[in-house]
Amino acid sequence: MKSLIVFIPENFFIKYFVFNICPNCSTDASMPSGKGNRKYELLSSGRVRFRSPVSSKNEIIHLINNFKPASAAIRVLYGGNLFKDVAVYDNSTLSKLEKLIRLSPLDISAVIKLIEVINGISPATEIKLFFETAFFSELPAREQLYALDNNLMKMEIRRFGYNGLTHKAVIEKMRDKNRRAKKIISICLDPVPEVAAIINGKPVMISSGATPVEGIPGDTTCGELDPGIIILIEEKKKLGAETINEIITKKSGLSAIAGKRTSISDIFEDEENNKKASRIFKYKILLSCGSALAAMDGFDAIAFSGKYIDAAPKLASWLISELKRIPVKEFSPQVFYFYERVEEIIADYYTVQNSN
Amino acid sequence: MNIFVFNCGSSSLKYKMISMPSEKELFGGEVQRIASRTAKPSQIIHEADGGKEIFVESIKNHLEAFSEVMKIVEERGYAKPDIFAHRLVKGSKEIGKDALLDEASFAFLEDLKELAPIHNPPIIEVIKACKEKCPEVPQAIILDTSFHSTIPDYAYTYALPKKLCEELGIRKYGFHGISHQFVSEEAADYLNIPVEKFNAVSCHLGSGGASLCAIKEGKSIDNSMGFSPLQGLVMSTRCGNLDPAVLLKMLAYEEGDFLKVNKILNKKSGVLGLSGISSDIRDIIRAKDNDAKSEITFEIYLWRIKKYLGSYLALLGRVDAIIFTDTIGETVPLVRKLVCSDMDFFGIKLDEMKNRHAESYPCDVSPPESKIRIIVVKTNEELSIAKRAYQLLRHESLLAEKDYRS
Amino acid sequence: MYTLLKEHAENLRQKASAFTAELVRTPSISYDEKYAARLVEEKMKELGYDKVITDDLGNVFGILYGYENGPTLLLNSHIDTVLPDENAPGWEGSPYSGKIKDGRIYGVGSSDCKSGLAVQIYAAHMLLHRALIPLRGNVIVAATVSEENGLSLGVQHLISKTLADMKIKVDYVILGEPTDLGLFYGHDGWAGFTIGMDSPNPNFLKNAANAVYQNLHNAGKANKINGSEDFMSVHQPEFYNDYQDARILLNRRLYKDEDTGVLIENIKDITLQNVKEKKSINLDIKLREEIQKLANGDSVQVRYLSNAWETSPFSPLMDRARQALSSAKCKTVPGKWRLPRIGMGTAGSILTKRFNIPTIGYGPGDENVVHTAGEYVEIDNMVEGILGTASIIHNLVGIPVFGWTSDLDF
Repeated sequence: MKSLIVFIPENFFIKYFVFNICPNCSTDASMPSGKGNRKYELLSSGRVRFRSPVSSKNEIIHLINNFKPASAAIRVLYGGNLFKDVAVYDNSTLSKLEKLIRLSPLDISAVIKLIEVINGISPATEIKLFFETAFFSELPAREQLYALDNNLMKMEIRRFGYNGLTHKAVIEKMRDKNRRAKKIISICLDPVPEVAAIINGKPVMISSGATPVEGIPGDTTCGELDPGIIILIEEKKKLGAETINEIITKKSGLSAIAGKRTSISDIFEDEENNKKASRIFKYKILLSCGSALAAMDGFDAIAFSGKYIDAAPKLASWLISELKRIPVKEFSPQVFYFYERVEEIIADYYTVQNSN
Repeated sequence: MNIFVFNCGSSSLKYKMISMPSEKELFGGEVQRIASRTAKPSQIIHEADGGKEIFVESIKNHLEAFSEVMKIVEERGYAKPDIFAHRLVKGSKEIGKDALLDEASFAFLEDLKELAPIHNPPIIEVIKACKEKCPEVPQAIILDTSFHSTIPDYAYTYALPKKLCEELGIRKYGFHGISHQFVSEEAADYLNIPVEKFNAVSCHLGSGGASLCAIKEGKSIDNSMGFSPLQGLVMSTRCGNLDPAVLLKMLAYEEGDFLKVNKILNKKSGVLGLSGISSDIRDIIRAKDNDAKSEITFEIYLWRIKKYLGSYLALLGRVDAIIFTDTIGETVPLVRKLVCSDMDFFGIKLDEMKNRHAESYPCDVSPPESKIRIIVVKTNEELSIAKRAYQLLRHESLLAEKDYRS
Repeated sequence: MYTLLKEHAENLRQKASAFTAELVRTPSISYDEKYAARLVEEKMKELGYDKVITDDLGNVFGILYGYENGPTLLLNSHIDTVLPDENAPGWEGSPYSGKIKDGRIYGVGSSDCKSGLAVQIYAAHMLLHRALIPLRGNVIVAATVSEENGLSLGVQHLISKTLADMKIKVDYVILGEPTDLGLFYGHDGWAGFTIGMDSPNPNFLKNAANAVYQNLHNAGKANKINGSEDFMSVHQPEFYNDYQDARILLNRRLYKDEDTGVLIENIKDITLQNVKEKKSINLDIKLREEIQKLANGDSVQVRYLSNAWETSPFSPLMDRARQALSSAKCKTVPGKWRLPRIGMGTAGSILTKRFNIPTIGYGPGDENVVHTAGEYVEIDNMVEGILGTASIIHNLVGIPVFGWTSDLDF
């Protein structure tokens, strides 16, 4: 058995999950965390305030001293074109991470600091970095590029997906269950939701953009927006880019439509009282799925995942009935629900790695 | 009654004199590539009495284009118009629907410029030029957004704070409505389907702007353009869809100079921004076999159309036709072929021979086994504008007669 | 992001006010700032500034380097204070008590502008090292010397010599001078004149000098604007050479675009009005100049002239600062320093006129209490000032965080 700590930096906190990894255990072995054939066991979880004023260095020191992990895994939101797979941390990794700061300033700076803290306490602990964007690093050029002259911005701008770890795990699980499902629409119902079209394990379309804001409206994010609107807001109200960013990331989305703080989960739980938000959300999902159908020339399955997976059955039922209006002869898509969270996906990775 | 229609595009000026109610076209033409950064220079194509004349000129702006057109008209001694009719991309509170311009409304014309700052200004300048040249001739404006007034609220609402949307009039308006309406009616007629039962995806692919429209039972239910003509497809110099955060970054780097950012997104992006050589997709098609940038530009251009097509096909469910129209949609078979390729899931098939030889419009370029007809329709926004202007004048005359009688 | 910054700013309340109090307790009158400068240097090193330098004039500055090495923002507060009148009533204990009481820090320099300096030092550090929000451009926080004589010698030396030698070009400046957290973009200037008089007849000279003084004094009173700002201040005549020479020192507020040559003519007209003895008096009016010795032993000729200056309230710098404060939900009140007393000023005049660097002011102090016995600064202002300054820094030279939601989970 080896212990693993998975860190998921958010912007205020770092979530942590301490696992025992037991790759050679029999799947009949009883695991306190339940869920049958998992080869890992969750020992502890929580979150520490990391960027916040009260120093959490001590909490991380305590964690590491207490559990003495052989490995530490850090979920990184953005790996850009530099990280196309899981990366073992070494000196070259640091300089690559620093190159990404311009494109993902909040996440990368927290990750670098966390690595510094872990290395300071326990240099022997192997650190691996798991990038959400890695799955989308080879997105076809026609999908990843915007119709912009990149020379103007002096930096490369392209689309990524930001739930790559989940989408990839979904595909692998589905492959186990149904080898014939080649074309999959993967819908991640997170506070910033995402739709991906995946053929034979490779993504060909993604609803997100250069940042997670683009695409489907989220709990508080605006989703797709006519660029002319931002120009108009700046022209008429002279708010400045920072204030407009606050609006489109924290004051928009389903909460703006509903007129109150809400989530995808809340919307589906009480559709009657959230008619407009529900209608708009479903509409955007339908349009995105239509794009996915064109991108893949059909589909075999739809998979749902994410924090708001509880909303998936209702959404799935509506979506399938809408798509069935397309007059296609044989149409019986599989619907798949994926309940694992990112930390479990990472722990799973270690069970496979260690057993090899 | 002779209606002289002017239809300003971002880089073109189409004109026609149409006799109503017979709908007979007396003459017409197009000034192409106005001030465009393309491989070929500007030109005027004038058509009358079955003949076609081409004048290659350097034309810097729409006022010059108007001037040249009027020269041609005067030299040939055509009949004077009874009314000028103009296509307006977006209206305002004061001029919110198709209308005859009176002295009072001329005062609001300048305000219209900022509502669609790329498109409305040339139209306004041409309106003023008409007034100066023929002050006695009445003028009508026909709005591009009218056809899209049936887009439902869940489709036109952006997920932004309600107060902000109300204050700034932020919603999806949709554009190219005159064209989408015209071609959908023509296609329905061609297929013998009553308009009120007709479902289609209309692809207006111009040399400047482009948009797709989802049409259900003859009514628009979505359009790829949005609040402004900037949203949606990859266009000649317009970026189409873009992550709002990227725009904010541009704004920050340009120290809040939104005019500069607006210019970049409207004039230096799209096909031009990607290829670096031309804003006309036809130039890119010619170059793509020898130039990697052109190749990827063309792929991205097609891909964005395809994705929107898929969205609207899923939205509509049962679809009678996909309609291609305007400069690229009508005259570039390769674009139709590639957009419709690998769409077997939707039952779409294209007949290559018919597609390559599509010359008289409307025409069906799909084989019988295609579940969805692929129709190429020559858009005639000018005829559509003339019809609506004629209706306006008639309505006004009827009102005037009623007033006189009472 | 702003919620994060606000939490950090609040958390620095105790540290920032303790440091300010320590600075106040360390006397640092103009030309004798070295002990306070050392405190600043140690603090910057402790907080992890990439480089901390004390130059040959005694200016101390810390640099935080960004990823793109530009633009460069200078946050500047002077570390010197006026010489306090220890006998004046109203001090909380003594001028150097640094007493913290009822949410305020008392003492000379608390408002002008040691609290401004502390706010700037902590704001820059907080943004980068605590909130972990990276920079694209560079931030320099500079505590400069020799400002309170009104001539900003420290800043001049910093820009023209120290930073120039390091090949650092400053793109924007934010002064930590007292603005009560307003966003200030300029102020009037002032000029010092010497009125020299001589006469072979001592009685004539005495009478004339006193009459001249009275004329100028009355003119000053008559032109007082808003009742509180000094327009002109005149010193009593000084006599030399057995009353054969006299000198009157005069300070006059300068407004935008006023020419000192024209002013000298105006002063001449006022001076000799109704002076009976004027035919026997030689009059020489000129801009006051004198040699001053600096802390490093150098001597420098200084002219008593500080021009009125203004950064356009609609400039990109003002716009972005205003937007930053608004985004952070800080007070956003544009304005200009009123400068209640002549001789008051900031380094803005030198920075804008001589170096052409866009400059604004944003500081927690209150100009109404500076140079008085009751000088203090509100600690709440300091906390908001840290948040506001950090927001402005980020807007000008930080890496934009657009599209990445800040205070939510993913």
